Amino acid sequence: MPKISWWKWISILLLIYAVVLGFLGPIPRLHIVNESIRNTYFHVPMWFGMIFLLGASVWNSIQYLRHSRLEYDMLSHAYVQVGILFGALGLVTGMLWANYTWGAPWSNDPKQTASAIGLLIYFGYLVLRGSLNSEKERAKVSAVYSIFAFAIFIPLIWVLPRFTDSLHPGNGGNPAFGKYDMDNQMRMVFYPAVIGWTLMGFWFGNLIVRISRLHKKFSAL
Amino acid sequence: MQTDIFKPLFFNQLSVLIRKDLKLEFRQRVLTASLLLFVVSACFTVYQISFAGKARINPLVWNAIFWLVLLFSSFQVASRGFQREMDREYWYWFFQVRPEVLVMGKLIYHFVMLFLTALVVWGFLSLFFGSPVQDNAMFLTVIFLACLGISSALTLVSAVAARARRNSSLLPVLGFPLLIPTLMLVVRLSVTSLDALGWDMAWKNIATLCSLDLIMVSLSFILFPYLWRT
Repeated sequence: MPKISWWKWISILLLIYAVVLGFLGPIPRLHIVNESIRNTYFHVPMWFGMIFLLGASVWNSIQYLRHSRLEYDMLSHAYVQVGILFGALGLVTGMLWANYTWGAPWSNDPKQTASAIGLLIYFGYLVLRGSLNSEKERAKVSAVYSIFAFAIFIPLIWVLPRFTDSLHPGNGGNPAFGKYDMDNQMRMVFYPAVIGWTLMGFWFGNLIVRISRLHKKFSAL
Repeated sequence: MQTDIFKPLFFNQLSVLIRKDLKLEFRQRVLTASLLLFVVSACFTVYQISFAGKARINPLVWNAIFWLVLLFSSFQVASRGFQREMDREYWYWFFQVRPEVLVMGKLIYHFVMLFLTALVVWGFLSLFFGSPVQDNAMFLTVIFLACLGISSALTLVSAVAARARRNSSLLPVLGFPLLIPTLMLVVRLSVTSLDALGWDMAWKNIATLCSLDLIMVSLSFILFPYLWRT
């Protein structure tokens, strides 16, 4: 049996726990939201995971600019890829949920807008990487872009939605699972889910890095 | 990295660089003329496709047209960006000036050009559709801050794009998403000035816009040297 490091076991156990209790555990009965409140365990952790992954990516970009070691660039690229996956899943789960509770998948809610822009920004990052040929050049230029993009993306998702009223749960008196509606029993599932999905995201990133390391090794042979 | 940004040399070099860019701009009139032509024909096209003003242009639509035309013009301004420096004169600039000076010079040059462009767009849209702006001072402030933000973002992005091969197609792809946050704020602010709702309504967004500008200016200042050194 292959050896799996401890944090991966934690991720597996937390996710089993969160998925089982997420579908079967007790939830508060709220008007309109009803059973769809279980989406909290799957949709919101995607966002948390994305922020942590993109944060890790930017950290590695900064490290690359400081030390110019290609290892950092590889990590940064991998975390962006997983971050985009998490962002897309967050958007899709959110739209599915919104279709039943808001009546339409897209209502131009500030948080929806912000996340769509964020995805566009990071797709731009991938396009940029694709159009640079030399390895060092690609690493340096995309590190610069990703730091700049992150510094615009963070104010966007935290600050802008606060300026307008949002349909989002927890904003503007919507029935929801904001901090006032989530009871302690839900928190017992929600936080493990966040930690589990985030660790799973880093696991994905880890795998991508290992694959690209192997690619490098084989192309060097 | 030593920082001598507060020494007079920095400002001397900076002013020389900006003067050089502006002088070139007006000496090679074809550049200024092409920008002007772009702006004028954009305004005229908008006028024509809205049935020569017969379509109802309410202030919100006017606002949208104004910022759209300005946005596309800003790509025109920035697309020349670092082309000159990256190609022929690269080695000359590399040894002559510090990258911080170079990027600030470019930023200020882009800003000046964009600000002037915005005034021209405002003029032409007013000519075709009339100007719904009620609070001119505030609208001018918004234009000023918006041009600062757009030009600083596009200065860095055009430096990034100049490094890649498909320069001209990359600039809008990278630039558009990065500019949406600024534009969302700007559009909200300029509607405040169209309706003359007063500064009380606007200060919060102005403060946010200022801090976004500050982030973008300082990041281009910090990050550009990494792009410049090879």
